[in-house]
Amino acid sequence: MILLHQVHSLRPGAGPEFEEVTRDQLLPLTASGTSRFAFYAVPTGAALHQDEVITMIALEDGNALGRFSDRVRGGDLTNTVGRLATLRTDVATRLLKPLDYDPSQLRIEDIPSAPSHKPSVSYMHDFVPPVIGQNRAYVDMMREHYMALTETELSGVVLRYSWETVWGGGPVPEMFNLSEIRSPTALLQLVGKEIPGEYKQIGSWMWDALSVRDRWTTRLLRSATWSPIA
Amino acid sequence: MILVQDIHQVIARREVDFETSYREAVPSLNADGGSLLWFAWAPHGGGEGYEAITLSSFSDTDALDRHQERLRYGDLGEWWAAVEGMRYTLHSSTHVLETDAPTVSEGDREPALYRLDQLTVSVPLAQTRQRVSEVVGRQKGDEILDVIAWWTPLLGDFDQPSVMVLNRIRSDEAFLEAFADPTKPWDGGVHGEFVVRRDTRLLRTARWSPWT
Repeated sequence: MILLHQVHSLRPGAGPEFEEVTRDQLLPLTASGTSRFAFYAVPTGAALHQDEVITMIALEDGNALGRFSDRVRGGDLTNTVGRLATLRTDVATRLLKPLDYDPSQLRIEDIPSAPSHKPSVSYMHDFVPPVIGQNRAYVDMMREHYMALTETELSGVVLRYSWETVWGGGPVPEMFNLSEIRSPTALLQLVGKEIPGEYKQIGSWMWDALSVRDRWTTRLLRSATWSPIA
Repeated sequence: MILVQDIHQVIARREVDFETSYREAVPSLNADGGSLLWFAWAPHGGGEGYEAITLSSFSDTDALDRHQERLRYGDLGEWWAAVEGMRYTLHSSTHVLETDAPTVSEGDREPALYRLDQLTVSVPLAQTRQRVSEVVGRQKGDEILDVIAWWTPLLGDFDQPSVMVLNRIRSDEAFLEAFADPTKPWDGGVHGEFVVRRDTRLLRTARWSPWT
């Protein structure tokens, strides 16, 4: 599975048209046995950038990536992606693959090929560059320690997806987490209250994990109500 | 009033030392026309990891000049060098505070949530000031975002066309309500067609932060 992950910076006022073209044109055109438009998310009021959209397209394998490329560069997707390009000022494109502990183990056939109709879900979307030289140690620590934490210990924020960029697909190494915010109360507890000192002492997850990563960017997003996965 | 806005990318394991250094330096920083107004963190889960924001005020650019020399070669040099060793980067910029001088006080209080907006605008400074004033003047008092201050670049149109707006999130209840229905746009703050880009920071004040 390859995920085509994009952060689109939109032109002022272009949000509704960008969403409409993506939902009504790109999504159905992308749907095939080896590719699906998977995810569409926009910023919450607490996000870093208010004029962004995050999209993900799932591609089965390298062949699917090649076919998608052909369709974009000179095929039936050319006009649609050209229209989307006029609605943004910038785009950051990455190719991601799931990490071995990725809770979702997403498969193409699990992704609806038509727009969904479900409530919007709030997410924390983490972009994490590991400490230099600690890439595999980061993966080991996430698998062996973070995944063993309970939902209570994680303050009601549940990891749903974990990916990394692959060679040829953007900044390397860089890790991505998409965590569902199960309740606003959990989020308020996390961001609005001071973290007790004992959580930051030697031997704690917060302290130990700093050896493998001590910088990240979190975007507080919400899925579109029609996003195929949410 | 002159305002210096500092965005610190702190070395994670120096987080506590960094905040303590600032808190203990307040008496030294509040001198000769200068004052440390505000200290806040981007909370975990809400933005950049281990990012701190400080705001310092100066009566005029002469006071700013004197403070710069205190940091470089004066009585604050040793403290400043120590603080530099606790962060990866600092982005420091100078502005003019467009609202009344804030009220500051000593002592601890419960941390509060804020949203600091950097608005990139499409009109010159004079029109920006007028439009922001109009929007802020129309606030009803019950929105999620309560504008408490805003500031513009010291060099006006000679610099980036932007305005910084500091909004207080009105209450925990307002925050919970916003995420109970995440499709509902947040009300309050500064909006308008003259805003062409909005970059925001969710921030939580330190309990000793002087600005109340």
